[in-house]
This record gives sequence, C-alpha cells and structure tokens, in this order.
Amino acid sequence: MGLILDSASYAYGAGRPFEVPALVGVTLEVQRGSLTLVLGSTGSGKSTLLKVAAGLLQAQRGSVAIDGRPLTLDTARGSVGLVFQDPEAQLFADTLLDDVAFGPKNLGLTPEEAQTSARDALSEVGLDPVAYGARSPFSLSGGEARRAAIAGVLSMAPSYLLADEPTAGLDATGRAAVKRLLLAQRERAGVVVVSHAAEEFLGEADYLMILDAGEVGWAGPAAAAIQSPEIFSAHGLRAPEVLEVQRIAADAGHRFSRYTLDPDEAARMLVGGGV
Amino acid sequence: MIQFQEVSFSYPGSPAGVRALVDVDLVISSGQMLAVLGANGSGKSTLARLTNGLLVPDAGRVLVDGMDTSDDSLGLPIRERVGMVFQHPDDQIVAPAVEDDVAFGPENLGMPRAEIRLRVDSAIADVGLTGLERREPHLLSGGQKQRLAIAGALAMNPRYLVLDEPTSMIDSQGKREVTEVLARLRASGHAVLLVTHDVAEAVRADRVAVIDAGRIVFQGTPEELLHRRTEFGAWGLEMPPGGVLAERLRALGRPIPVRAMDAESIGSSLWA
Amino acid sequence: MAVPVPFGQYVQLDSPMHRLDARVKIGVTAAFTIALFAVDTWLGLAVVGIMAAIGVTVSRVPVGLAARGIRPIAWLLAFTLVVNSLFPAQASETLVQLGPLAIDAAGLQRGLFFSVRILLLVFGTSLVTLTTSPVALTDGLAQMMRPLAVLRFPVDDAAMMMSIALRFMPTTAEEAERIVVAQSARGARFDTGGPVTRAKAWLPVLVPLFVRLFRRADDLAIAMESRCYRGQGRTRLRQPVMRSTDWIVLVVGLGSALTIALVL
Repeated sequence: MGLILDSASYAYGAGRPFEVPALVGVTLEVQRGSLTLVLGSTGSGKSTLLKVAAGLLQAQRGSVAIDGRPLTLDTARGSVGLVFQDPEAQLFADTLLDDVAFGPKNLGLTPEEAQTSARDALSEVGLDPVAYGARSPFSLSGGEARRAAIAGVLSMAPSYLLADEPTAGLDATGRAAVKRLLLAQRERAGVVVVSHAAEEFLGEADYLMILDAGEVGWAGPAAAAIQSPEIFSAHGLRAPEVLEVQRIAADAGHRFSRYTLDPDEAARMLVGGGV
Repeated sequence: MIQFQEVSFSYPGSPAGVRALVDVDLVISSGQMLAVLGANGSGKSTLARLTNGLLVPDAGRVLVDGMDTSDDSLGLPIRERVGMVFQHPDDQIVAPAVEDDVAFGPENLGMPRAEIRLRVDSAIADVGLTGLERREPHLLSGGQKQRLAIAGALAMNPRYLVLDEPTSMIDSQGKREVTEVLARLRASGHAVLLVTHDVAEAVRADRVAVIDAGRIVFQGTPEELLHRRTEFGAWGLEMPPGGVLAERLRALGRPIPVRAMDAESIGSSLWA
Repeated sequence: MAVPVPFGQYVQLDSPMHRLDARVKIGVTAAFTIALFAVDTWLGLAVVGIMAAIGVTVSRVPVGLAARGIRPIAWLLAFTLVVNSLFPAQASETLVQLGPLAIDAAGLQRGLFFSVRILLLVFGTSLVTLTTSPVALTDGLAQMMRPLAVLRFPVDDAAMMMSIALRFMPTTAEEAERIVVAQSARGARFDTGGPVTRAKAWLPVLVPLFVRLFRRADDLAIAMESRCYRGQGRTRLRQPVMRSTDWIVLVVGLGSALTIALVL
C-alpha cells in the first residue's frame, strides 16, 4: 500500500540532444496518515516530482505505484489530488459550487453526487456552501480563492494529496488557515507538501525529503532532520530561523543535547549554554 | 518628501461606505525607509498606488515634493521621482531582454542614447545583475526578476522608491537578494517605502506604519512597534518564529536588538 | 524546473550572417522572394539555390537544422508535385500510365519547378529566423515600419506591441502548461471524445488563462504608466546601425535579386 516512487527518473526532451534530466533515481514512500515535506531550491526538480507522483508524467526509469498498482493517469484519477502552486489559476466556472464539482463530475459522479461532494469540500475549507456556493470564483479574496481551489481537489476525496507551495503569497491569517486545512487531511490521506522553505511545515511533518539538483539530497524522519540542522544549508536551503540560531551557537562552541524548533525551549537552552 | 494629508479613497463600484483608505496622514522623508505593514486587504497596496498618482484621493491630498498628484499636468515629473516595484515579478517586466527592460523608463523620458546607456549599466550594477544584460526575463529566477524590476525603477534616478510586497511571491534566496539590494539603496540615500505583511521585513526600516482596514493604526519606530505586540493579532499580523525567539531571549535578559529576527543577527548579538 | 520554451528557431552562433543587420536580412530575403516568383527558368532557380547555399555556409548553421524548416511543408511539396503531374494545365506526352492515372511529362516538370521554388522560399526565410534573435527581428521590423508614420500609422505602438508579445509568449506558455496540469489532476481529459467534447475540455484551461491574461494586462499597464510610458516621445537604447558590410550586402543582395528577376 501507499504511493511509492522507486528510483524514479525523468528527463525533459529525453533522447534528444538537449535532454534535461529533472529527476534522477528518486525513491519516496507516502503512506496514508502521514505528512511528508519535500524541500528543494528553485530548479531542484520539485515540480517534476509532483507531476510524476500525480501520474501526469511517466517516469522513464524506475517505477511508481499506488496501492500496489502501477501509477498511470487512470489509476491516479481521483486517488491522487494535486494542489498546484498558485492553485487559484485553476478556477474557471460561473459559480464556486460548479467549480468545486468539476473534479467529482470528471470522476463520473452524477451531478447530484458531485454537488454533495462539492458542498462537503467547501465546508471543509471553511467556505460556507450556502453563502459562497453561488458566488463567482473570481469575486473571492486571495486567501479565499486559495482555499476554494483546494476544495476543488478535496471534493474528489483523494487518498494522497500533493501540495506545491500551498501558502506562498498569503498573509498570516491565510497561511494559518491553509496549514490547518492540510494538517487535517492527514486524518484520511497521505499528504505531501512541497516547498522551498522549511519554516512552515517541518515541525508537523513526519518525513522530510530534500531534493538537490533532481536527486535525493537527504531523506528521513523529520525529527531526525531537526537534530541535524546542517543538512539544510548543505543543499542550498535555509533551516528554520530558530534552528539556524542553534546551529550558529553550536558552531560557536555551544553544546546542546538536542535541537528544538520551539522558541521557548531554544531560548532557555541558548541562555543556559545548553541543557 | 511625500505627504499624505487626510487621504481617503474608495474604489469605484465598491459598496457605499466601504473605503479602502480612511483619513491617512503619512510622511515619507528623503533618505529614510518607511515600512507600511498590514494584512491582505488592509489597503496597503492602495496606499502604494496613491504615491505616484496611479490613484488619486477622493478626499485629502498627496504631495510629492510639493506637487499635487491630482494635477494631471504633473504626472510625468511625479512618476520620474517615484519609482515603483510591484508584487508579481512577471507582470512588470516589459521588454524581452534584461537591458531593454531597464532602459524602458529612460526611453519613455526621451533621453539621449548615451545617457540611457549610462543609466542602464549603473542600475544593472546596483542590483547585481551585471553579466545578464542580454538574458530573457523568463529565464531569470524570482529574486533576479524582482531585482530587474528594481533596476527598471532606479534607471529613472528616482528620489523615492515604492515597493509593493516585492518579496511575497519569491523564494527565500530571492528574498535575501532583494533585502540586500534595499539595504544598499537606503545606505546610498534613497527614500524607500516598503509595503509588506512580513513583520521581520518591516522592523528593518527606520519607521513603521501599521495599516488595518484602511486606517493607520500605528506609526513609530520598530522599538515602539514591539511595545504594541499584544495588538498584532487584531491587526492580522504574525510575529515570525525568529522574532518570537528574540522576544524570549530578551525576556531572559539578553539584549537582542529589535531588528534582529533572523538567525545571523540574533546569533551575532548573543555572542557579540 | 522551468522547461525551456522553444521560441522560433534561432540558433545562437557567431557568424557574419548572424552579425548582419536584421533589416538587411529581411530586405534581401524579401527581394529574393520576389525574384523567385519572377524567374521562370531552371537556371534562375539554380542561381537562387546557389545563393541560398552560400548563405547557409556563411551562417555556420548545421545543414540539418536549416533543413528542419522544410519538414512541415513536405506534404505541400508532394501535393504540388502530384497534382501538377496528374492534372497538367496543358497535357503533353504521357510518361507513365498507372491504371486510370497518367503522369504527364510537362506537368511533372512544372510540379518539380514549383516544388523547388517553394523549397527555396521556405529555406530562405528560415535562414533569417535561424540567424536573427527574436529581439533583433522585432527591432528590425519596427525600424522598417518607421516610414509608415507619414501615413499616421502608429509605428511606436506597433513596435511596443510586438516587443510585449515577444516578452510574454514564453510566460503565457508556461502558465498554460501549469493550468493544463492543474486541470488534468482534477480528472480533465484533453485527448478523448469527438471534436466538440475536446473543444469543451479546453474551457477549464482557456477561462483561467484569459482571466490571468486580462489581469496581467492591467498590471502591466499600471507598471508601464509608473515608468512614464506615454506612447510617444520615446528614444531607444538599441538603435541598429548599418555598418559598411551591411550596406555592401544590401546593395549586392538587392542588385543580384533584381538581375535574376529581370534576366533569368
């Protein structure tokens, strides 16, 4: 079971002289009920990884399987949800309810069933279907549009949910809402968040994978990553600020028994010179 | 000096009584960096667009070095003085190559070619894009695109630089690049108005104004801002994790400066 | 990661052909196009062919790449050849009889002649796009439109429009790709059903794309206004300057095209 990439590789323009390898031998296992954070700087292959994991691109080497079956566009349908960067770009219908019902309809649900799924999904993202359902998706604020687009994916009740930079460009309130939403999805789905910044999800993630130039730079439990804060800068990324302060302190000769993301604990350890 | 005098503004077509800005009084002085801090929908972008006459007040006045932005005949001299950079890097780059884009402003001002060349080269150097003059904009990173947008504004030799959330759509590496360029600009005497929702960015300015529901609810130094910490939630603002750590360290008796919200500056003040 | 969006067929090299002023390349190619239609002898075609061959050699563009532009018109060439040989304007002697179809000798010759003419035409124009960057090409076209200002044609606006189109084509292509991916992930299929179903399937892509384009146009207009754009009174950083080689190539090129057109 699970969504499993086994040494998956993908290159754009494969076989042609200007072949661009984007993903090289990447292995990733996503189980329901877990949150995986994938970090990488610009051009590290994050977007390609998402497309391969969503069945939109076929790995040229290695394999991708979903719950024991090979992943294709067909097996991915409805099972793998993808919240793309800037997802409000997908909104198109006259009313929000129709827009959110687009996915379920494509899965072959009757219009009534699709509407029911859409209403449930809207409630789930905190947009009251009665108040918002008949509104034009283009009349929403930035944060609302982002949540509406996520509802458009949740309405298909995916077993695996992939999200690319889900909080980019949002203010504090919007970020908090989207974060809460994705964490709640862990109850019933395997969630993968792809980002360039560790700050937002590292504390809540179960697993961390760092992509570097298309390859797996580091992979393991997120808790282990927190205990080795040097892995972030080693792959062109920035550790969360609280962790980075402790890393700088360690470089300056302070010894900690363990690193922490919690500002309170970090402050006490820094002032005490260690625990 | 840019002065906002009791400025109110509503967008045409918005319901009666809904005003994007209400009685805003604000001064942007030469050689100073002012951050306007606010949540989405607070009116901060509207405020930015009033500084160069893209929008004109319904009530009150905006004066740029004494020139009233509602006077149409002053449009050009005002925009020459007030350079503007927007949130979406892609939607403000006009030309299909870096140096042509930087040249766009001076070209519009009808400058002689030799003068354009000088300005383009120096603006590109100011933002650290030397060597990429012929690059196509869509091949640049987010941080490079925003630096290109800043260069485009600088090429007009503006006295004031207004940036509307320049870092909210780009990655952390890009943010650092833009922040460094802004620090250099301030050091060289430019007046900078930075519109942002990021507290860590705002406290690096000389002064901060907080805007909430169209009203300026706070104006003062970053130190004074932190004294109003309990109101952040009501204003829709969030203290970043680095800022929280700095607070805790201060509570434990360490003298962490107000501006230090990133690891490097917290670290260097801990072990100065 | 950003997938390189292929734009036109420009091959970045350093050759005398690449360095030539875009206006000269456009002008000379236009002259040869006219000459191609004026010549009615094989000798004429051969001379133009030799000129084209010299052009490719000077440009240092690999012949394979230069010939790529011909592939899309292969069907057109075949069609020209077949129609002319089977249905000649004036029947002459039959070369081969294939059941009810007769291949006519004069028709075949005519077909060949037309095909070679089209071939040279495409080859010549792609030589320009292969050796001129899109920026230089639009700049050159804008410069060549300048005299139209006398007729009150909005030359500056047109030049600005071309430049903006050039700037936003790759960005829009990337955006379209993103929306296609997002809608595919919501179960949209673009490759099944009849033409009507397929056309409808594109609606969820086109609507957001246009919404974006309009918003982008708004934002861009504001950004341009902020940078003092008035649509007039502009000077230019880049002013293509005709060097002596440009003048020589222009005169020789136009001269030979004229000679070929009149003599051969």
